[in-house]
Amino acid sequence: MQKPKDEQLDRLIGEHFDRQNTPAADFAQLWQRAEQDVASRAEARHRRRWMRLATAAVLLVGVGGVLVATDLLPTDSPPDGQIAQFALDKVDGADGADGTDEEMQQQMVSTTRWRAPSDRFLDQTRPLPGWQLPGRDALQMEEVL
Amino acid sequence: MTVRQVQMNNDTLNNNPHVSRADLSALHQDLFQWAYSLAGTHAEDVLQHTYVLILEGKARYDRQSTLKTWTFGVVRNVSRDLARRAERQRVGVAQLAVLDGQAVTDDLSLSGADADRRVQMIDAAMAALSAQQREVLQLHTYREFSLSECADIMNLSLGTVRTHYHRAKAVLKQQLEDIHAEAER
Repeated sequence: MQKPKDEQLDRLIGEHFDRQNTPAADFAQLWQRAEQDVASRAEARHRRRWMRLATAAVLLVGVGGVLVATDLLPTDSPPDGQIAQFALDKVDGADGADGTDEEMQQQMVSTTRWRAPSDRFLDQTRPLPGWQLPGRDALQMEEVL
Repeated sequence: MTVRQVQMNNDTLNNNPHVSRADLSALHQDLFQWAYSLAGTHAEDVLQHTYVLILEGKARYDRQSTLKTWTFGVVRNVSRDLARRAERQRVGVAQLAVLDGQAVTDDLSLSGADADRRVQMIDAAMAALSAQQREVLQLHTYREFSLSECADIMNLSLGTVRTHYHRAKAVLKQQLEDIHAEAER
């Protein structure tokens, strides 16, 4: 039995891979497709970046708006001092009314759309020295009442 | 500076300053055959994705090996990457087999039908080798890369590549001896 030589084996291996060969796709065509792919990827990246920025901006504005609306600015509060002065007038009878609690309460409801702030809100908004916050008037009014 | 070098410098890619379109065009035929042996009918996709990575600079040539060695390595990585992605997406078993290079071995048995017995036997023996053994045989014996370059392309140590090569040759030698023995009987 003759042992096959390495050269013969290499030749057979070469023939084997020759048989595997297939016509290659056109380089120019593949290259063009690759360039188009790169361009569309770059465009998609650009679009995603702007989408992320826009989403972040919307979230920021939304969260800020919610915070402001819930905690910091009760939009239906009356102008500063109005409620306290109203209550004082009632007690003093300066507006001609007899100043009973019931009448005063009815007039308050009918003449203002003000809603009493919660205790938590009042705790959070205790005025600093020199500050005039909506909660302060409410406190004064409660004390008067 | 030779004419070739001037042409290379004028044609280099923005994100890959040491690679030119002309160089890739010259390597295209070999790269396609290599991609075909790895991914079968998906060779075009593999090669296109390779070119995309080179154009974008995600695969960057730093001249630590020859351009041919480097591009062969990129093609191999892309082929494996696409195969893994296909596996994750749970494509059909048949498609996976194609991406794993099994389609090429399937073709072997078909092409051997009208060939002589020796061709059939060698094709069958090649098909029985592991994918890495086939790769190293193709790169070293057929495409004339050194074993060290094969190690670069296959991302393996030189010792491992050498082992794959010698085992593959031993299997094929044994196969040929069997053919001769059978012929003498």
